[in-house]
Order: sequence, then structure tokens, then C-alpha cells
Amino acid sequence: MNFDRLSRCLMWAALVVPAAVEAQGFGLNEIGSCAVARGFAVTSVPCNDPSEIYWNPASTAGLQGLGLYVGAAAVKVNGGFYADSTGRRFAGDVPVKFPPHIFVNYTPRNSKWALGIGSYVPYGLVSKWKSNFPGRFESQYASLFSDYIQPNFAYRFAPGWSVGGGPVFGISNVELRQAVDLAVAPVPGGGGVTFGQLGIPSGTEFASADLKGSAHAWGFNVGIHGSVGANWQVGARYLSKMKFKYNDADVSFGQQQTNLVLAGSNPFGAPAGTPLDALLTPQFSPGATLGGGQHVNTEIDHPAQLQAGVGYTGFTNTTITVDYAWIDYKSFDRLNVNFVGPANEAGLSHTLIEDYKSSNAVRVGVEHAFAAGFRGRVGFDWIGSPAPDVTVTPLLPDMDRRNYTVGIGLPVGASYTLDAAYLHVDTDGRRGRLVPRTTGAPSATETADQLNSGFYTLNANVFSLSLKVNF
Amino acid sequence: MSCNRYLAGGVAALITASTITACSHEIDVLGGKPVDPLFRTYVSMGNSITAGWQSDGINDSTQMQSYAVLLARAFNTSYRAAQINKPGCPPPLDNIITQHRVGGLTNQTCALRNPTSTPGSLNNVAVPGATSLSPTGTVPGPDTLTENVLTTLILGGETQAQRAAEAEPTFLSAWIGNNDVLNATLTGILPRTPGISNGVTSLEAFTTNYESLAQALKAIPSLKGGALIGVINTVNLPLLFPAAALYNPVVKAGFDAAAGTVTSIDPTTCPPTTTSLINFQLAGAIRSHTHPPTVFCEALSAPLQPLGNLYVLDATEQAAVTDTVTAYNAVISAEADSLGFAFLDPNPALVALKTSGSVPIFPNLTNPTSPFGQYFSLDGIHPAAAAHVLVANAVIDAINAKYGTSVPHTQ
Repeated sequence: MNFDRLSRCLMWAALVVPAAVEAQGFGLNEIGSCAVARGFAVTSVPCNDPSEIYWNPASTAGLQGLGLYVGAAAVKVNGGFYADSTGRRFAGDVPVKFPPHIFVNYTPRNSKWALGIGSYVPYGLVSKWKSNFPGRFESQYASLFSDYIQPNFAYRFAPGWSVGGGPVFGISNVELRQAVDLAVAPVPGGGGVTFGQLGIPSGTEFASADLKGSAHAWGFNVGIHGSVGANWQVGARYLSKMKFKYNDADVSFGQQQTNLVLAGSNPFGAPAGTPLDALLTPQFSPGATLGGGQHVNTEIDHPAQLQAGVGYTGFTNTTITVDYAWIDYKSFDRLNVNFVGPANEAGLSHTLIEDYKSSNAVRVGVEHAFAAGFRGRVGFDWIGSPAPDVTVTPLLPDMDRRNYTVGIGLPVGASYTLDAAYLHVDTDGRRGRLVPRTTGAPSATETADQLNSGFYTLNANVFSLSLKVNF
Repeated sequence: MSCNRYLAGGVAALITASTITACSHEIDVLGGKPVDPLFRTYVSMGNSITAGWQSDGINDSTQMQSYAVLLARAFNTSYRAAQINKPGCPPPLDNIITQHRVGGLTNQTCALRNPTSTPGSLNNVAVPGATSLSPTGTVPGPDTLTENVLTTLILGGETQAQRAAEAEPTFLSAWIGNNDVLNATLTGILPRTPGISNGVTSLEAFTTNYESLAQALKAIPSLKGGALIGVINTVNLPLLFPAAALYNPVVKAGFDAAAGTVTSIDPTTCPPTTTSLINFQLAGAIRSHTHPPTVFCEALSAPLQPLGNLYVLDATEQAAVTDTVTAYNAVISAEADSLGFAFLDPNPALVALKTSGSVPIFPNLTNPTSPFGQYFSLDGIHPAAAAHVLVANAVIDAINAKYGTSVPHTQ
């Protein structure tokens, strides 16, 4: 049986790739509370804590002694979809997530070099919709958690100037749960005729698919940092693309009841009163197309990041920084999904169309040291979406965003500093689609006007808390 | 139960008789901001007329001409129909004389549905053949008699009421009940006769069915308003012509041409003063030799029955049908009142078309692509595009009068 388009149900990679892409495209980058509070504009004038290992591996040469920076962010994404056909709003159901970060750095006093290691989550996102969401066939629940572990070495090669970097080992876990649409499934023995052509409405859920996979990859993160005169600093970092190969990811299917009953003279040739579900049950048997114990392989490129900035420290106790960030999402144009087992034999393997473009962002931050000893921070970002109009999906309907940040750094004794930050992500909303795009399908050549069937809204609130310890 | 046994067998049978065409990619979602919040989501229930059946067939072109589509456009609201691929299911006739159908195919052809790729509810849940029982009847149930392949192609295993509720309509129209008298009218045999006539639905059953429909509509929490359309008095359909017209040599010559032979008029049952109506399909029966080449205008006694009864409506039967339809429409009007819906009786407009001569007394066979005039399609039963415009505008008038809205007329 050829469940070709049924494979759309399995496009976990489609769900994963945008997750990966849009997680960064979404641009939270909640790595260190100081950086969050300063609008992530920290490559030039760093936060003076070990999170510089991520934000600018070179600037750690300017730290002093042994330091620890540890914390987590609480990320709450709010989203919704307004369907054109009914005007009804479908609210997202995204759970709060707590991506952690931890960095350790050692810069000997009066030394030109620094050593450190960090663990952070540059790509990670959870999207979840309720069971009645019409886009659940694209994604009902998706989770990506890519943890990067980076040893770091920095060296001051000239007064005020340093370089740094290190290899990055990434561990990525993905999970996807989605509904399977009977309407797009070919009728067994039907010569390619789909259930939809026989009257089964699109959006008829007859199965659920659960997919879990993990992968690891290697990359690197490098940076350069320098001072220009007494009041200006510049910096740049480059995090390389990392190719994650999710091999033998587990796929399991469960039958869902459609409760449809065939009328007389139906085109299936079944007697009047036949429950459609009874005709579908054999497809879930061991060895059948939707039987258990199957696997899928795919690759996901986590894109490269380039960020450069300039900072001015000429105002008393006040630092102003401006950064430009470029993310190489352009590499996400196609994605192959290769099944292993009956699903592949049935022709489920397919190629998804993403057509992402590179993303640009402008980041601005201000920090002021108050006489009382604490530091106040504010920031603003504008982030252009990498997703074209045809790739605004239930997984994460990416759109241009504005970040508003505020935070505080509070010394606690001689060795401790508590950083807290709040980030609000604001958008204007964007039209989007509920259905996938695959090569060879009509959707591949359809325009955004043809594909998009509603309006997505999206915002997020992030609370970040970090503790800095100087030993 | 074997999946392949039924699925493959059924589909193969269809495909054998089908020409599967590529998806039309026609956009089936119309509109944007509605002219009034009342029409934010519109659903139409009904039978073949609402579904867009014309000329004994249906495809995505005839569907788009339905008055329901015109209403959706006038409302400027999103609207999705289960589009049937061309050439159709079955393809409509395009020549009444040759019985040629679109694409040169037969009435056994079904090109299946064009499945939209976008999940979403159906706005036009009307199904050809549906009776007053169909919208809420169990699938399958006592309505199996009128269920057909389109029942599944359009509703996919649910009832009209279920599909309508899924769309969460704010406004709904229903034109249902014509098939409760149509088949009996066309066959000329009013009692239910297995294999020949579906009979006329009793007023009691019709009332029960409409009460069930009203209850189903009241259970839709999103529904703010609607319109019910009355049953057509089927004796006025252009497919039925006065038997007395056969005394007109031109009419007689046309009838004989359609029958493929020189027919005779029984002088006993068909005096020139006869008021009986003849179903033009009698000519086809004569051509196919399933009826002798003689026109009888009153039912003959055994053993000659059903001659004079089949395809013939005598005065008594016409009165019975008219009385039944009148009673049906009283029920529908009352249900509209109970629902707070608008009500439209379509019969005055139909009578006006006949009175004005816009609908010919006898099909104009010299114009085989439009024998019943511009308002009726080639089957002589179902409205053509021009009539759908009239219906849509009449419904709009009723809606505006009921709700004080300003829905513009459609063109």
C-alpha cells in the first residue's frame, strides 16, 4: 500500500527543522541573564562573566580569576491561529520551558590567556497545540533541545586585543507528535486515488504519530575582541553550522477513531453502515505501513551565526552597545526524510520544502552602574524572520519580531552577583499555513496566498536568572 | 473485515468508469470580511439544487453556479464546497437530443472529488438526492434509498447536520424537501412502489423530519440566523408538459422526434381537453422500447397498468402533489418561525417564469443545448445559472427583510 502523502504525517523533520531554525530565528538566545537584559548586544562590551564563552570567546581573556556563571531561563511562548474559514481562534498550549546554562572560566591574573568551558542551548523550542487545532497534522507537539558544550581558549595577542574559540560538541534531542490525515492517504489498491477524493474531508484524523530521535555533531565557535581608543570596543563571533544526523529515530503510530460510517452506494464498495475505522485497522498491524517499530533518518543543519558589535563606554558608568547578527538560515531549503521499514517501502520517504533565507537582526543594549552598586540594563532588538511567506507553519509561525529587555545585576557579598532579566517578544502576527509543502506535491508550486489559510499571532515572555561566582 | 476487499474493489469499480482529471486548483474559499457579522460563517444544507446539480450531472463548474455560492459571495464570507472534478460525477448533459455529456462520457462516470489540501470545514453540505430525512438521518438509515455515491463524496461518512455543526456556522440556509415529492411526480406514481417510485413522504413523516432538523440547528451554539426555503411544487417543473399540447402538430412532431418514432395519442384517455401532465422522459422510454409508442393520459386498468400512470400526472395527482407541497411549506414556514429564520416560498417565482413564457410549455428541441430556456438546465428539473441568480436574490430579499441587513443582490 502506498501511503505516499500519508507520509506528510511523518514529516517530523519538517517539524524539527523549523524548530531548529526558528528557535534561533525566533532569536531568544536566552544564554545568560546579563546578555538577555542588554538585548544580546554583548560581543563588543561583554558582560564580564563566563557566558562570554558563547557571546564572544575572545573576550574571556579580559576576565579575572576563576569564575562560574550558572542559571536558567523560564520561557513562555504564547501563540494562536485565527482560521479564515470560521474566524475561530485556536490558542497554543505551549508549556513553560527552562533552558539552562553553565559556564566556567579561568583567567590567571595578569595573564594573556584564558581557559573555560560552557554548556548552553542556542537552539531549542517547544511548540504545542490543543487536540482540536486544525494544523495538528503538521504538528501538535514538537520539542527540540540542542545542547552545545564548548571548551574555550582565549589569548590576548596585543594590548586590548584578543582572539578565542573552541570546538563545540552538540547533543540534540527531538520529539514530535502529530495527527495523521486520512484524506491525503491513498486508498489501498486504489491506483493512487486518495481517501480525500472519495469524500473523506481533509483534517480527518485516523492516526497519531510519535517520533523521537537524537543526534550529535561537531562545530566550533570563535571570536575576536578589541579596544579602539579609551572609549570604544569592538567584537565579533562566529558559531559554525552543525549538521545533526538523526539516524534510526523511533516512529510509532496509534489508530484514532474517525467514527465515520459509510453510507449506501459508497465509492469504497463497502456495505452501507460499514465503520470506516474497521477498514483501516489492518494498516496498523505489525509489518504494515503504520505498524510499530519503524525508524526514520534525516539530517538537520543547525545554522551558522555571525554577530559583530561596537560599544561605547565614554559615558560615566554607562555602556551603550549595538550589534548586528546574521544567521545563515539559507541552507535550509530542502530536507530529505528517509524511512526505514514498511513506511519506506510504501513510498513514505519524501523531501520537504523549507526555502528559508538568511536572517538579520539589530541589537541594542544599555547598562548603567548605579552608585548603590547594582547595575541596571535595558535592550531592544529587531529580528527579521528567515521564514518566507510560504513557510509560516504550526511548528513555530516565525515572523519579524521586536524584543524588549530589562534587567538588573545585584552584587551579593564580595564573590557573588545575581543577574535577573525579563524579555518580552512582540510581533505583528503573520499569515500562515496549516499544511506541509513537499516536492512533487501541488503545494510545492502554490503561492502563499494559496497555501495560507489563517493568521498566526505570537509573543513570548522570558524570565532569566543567573548567578555569577568569582572564586 | 478485509480492507483491500472493499476499498480496492469499490475504487476500482469507480475508476473503471471514471476519467480522473488533475486537480483544478480552483480556489474554493471565497470572501473576506463579511457584509455583516451575521454571515461570518455560512453553511448551506439541501439537495441537488443547493449542491449545484444541473443537466443531470454535477462538476466544479455547475457547483460554482449554485445559489448558495452566490449567497456566500453576496455575504462576502469564506465558503468551501466539496468540489467534484471535471467532467463530473456524473458529467452533465450538454445536448438533450443526443444525450451527450461533458467529456463524451456516460452517466456512470465519476471523476471523484478534488480534495483540498487545507483542513477546514465544509460550508456546502448539500447532497443530491437528499430528502427531508437526510440532514439528520442515521447513516445509513431509512434514507438509504436516496443515498448515492455523492453522499459519501460530499459528506464523507457523516450527516449534513454533523458537517454543518463542524463548520460552526453563524448563518445557515436549508432547502430540503423537494425530493420528498420529486421522484413520485416524475414517475407519475405517488404511492411508494419499490423499483418504480420512491413515493411521496407523508406529511407526518415530513413534519417529524423537519422537527429533527430544527432541533439539530438549535443545537448549534454558533448559529445566529438562517433561511429556510420551501419545497418546489414539482407539477410546475418544465420537464412536465400538458398532454393537450400534443395536439399541436409542432409539439407532436418534436415529441415523436425525441421518441424516435411516430407515436399515437390514445383518444380515450387523452381528449384535447385533458389536463394531465406528461413527463418528457416518456419520449426516452418509448425510444428505448420500455414503453409502447402510445401516449395514455389516464391510468389504465389491469393488466395494462402502469400504462397511463407511469410518467403521467392526472388532475387528481396534480392536486395531491400541490396539496402536499402546500402542507410541506406550511411546516417549513412554521419551523422557520420557531428558529427565528427567514422563510422563502419559491413557487410564486417559478409560476411567474412559466406565466411569462420564460419557461417553455414544451421543450424547444430546436435548441438542444437550452431546450427549457435560460432558467432551467437540460434535465428540465434543476435550475440553470440564471435561475440560481433569481433564487439567490429572492433569498437575500427574505434575509434582509427578516434581519434588517443590507446584503446586496448578486449578479
